[in-house]
Amino acid sequence: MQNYYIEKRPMTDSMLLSWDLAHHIYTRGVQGRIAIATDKPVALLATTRKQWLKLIRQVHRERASTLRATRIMELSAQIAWMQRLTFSCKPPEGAREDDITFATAASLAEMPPICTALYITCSVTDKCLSQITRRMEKGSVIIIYGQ
Amino acid sequence: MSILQLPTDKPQPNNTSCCLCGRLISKDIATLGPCDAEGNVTFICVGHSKDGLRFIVMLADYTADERQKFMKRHGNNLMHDWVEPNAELLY
Repeated sequence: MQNYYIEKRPMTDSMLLSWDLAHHIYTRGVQGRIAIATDKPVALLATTRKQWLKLIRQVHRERASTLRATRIMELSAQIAWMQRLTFSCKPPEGAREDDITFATAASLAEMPPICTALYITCSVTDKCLSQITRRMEKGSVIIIYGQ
Repeated sequence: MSILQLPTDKPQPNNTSCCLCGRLISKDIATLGPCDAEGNVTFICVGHSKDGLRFIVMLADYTADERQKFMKRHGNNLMHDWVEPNAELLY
C-alpha cells in the first residue's frame, strides 16, 4: 500500500458520485485500466456512463468553439479516447479486458484486477483492500470515497 | 479532497503546485491530476473540476504542452532514440 498514491474524496449529499467519478477519470486522462469497487455495479455503471456521455458532448462543444489548432487537436484526441473507452460490470475473463470495470469489493478481492487506478465507493476492510491491490503496479492510484 | 499518501519513492512535500494554474496548494485541497511529460502524477486544485467548460480547455492546453515537451525532448523522433512511446502522450 505504500507504493500507491492514495486520495480521499468526501461524499456529500449534494454530490453525485457518478458525476465525480466521470470527471475524475476524465481529469486523469489516459491512464490504463480502471477498477471501481461498489455495492451496486450495474446501477453505478449506468449513471457513470451517462455522465461520461455528457462530458463527451461538453468536450465536443469546446472543440467546436475554438480556432486554436493545438487545442483542436488535443480535444479531438480526447474525444477519440473518451469514445473508445469501454465500461463493463463483468469480471475480466480471458483476453477480454475492459477499460473500466465495475464490481463488488468481494469479486475484486477474489480476482484482483491489473489496473492503474482503483476507485473505492463502498466500505472495505484493510484486508480486502490489500487483496484487491495485490496486482496493481507501483505508482498506481487509489481513490477512496467516504464521509 | 485530500491526498493521503504518495509513494515512498517520490518526494514528500507538504505543499505542491497545481499543474493547471501554478498556484501552491496543500495536499489537503489537492486532487490527483494527469501525468506530465516525464510520467509523474501531477496535482490540481479541487475547484478546477467545478469550472466546467473552462476546466476542459485548461486541461487540454496543459496536456498539449506536455505532449510537445515530450516530443521535443526526443527530437520529435522517437524511433531515433528507440524510445518506447508513452501512450498517454501520443495520438
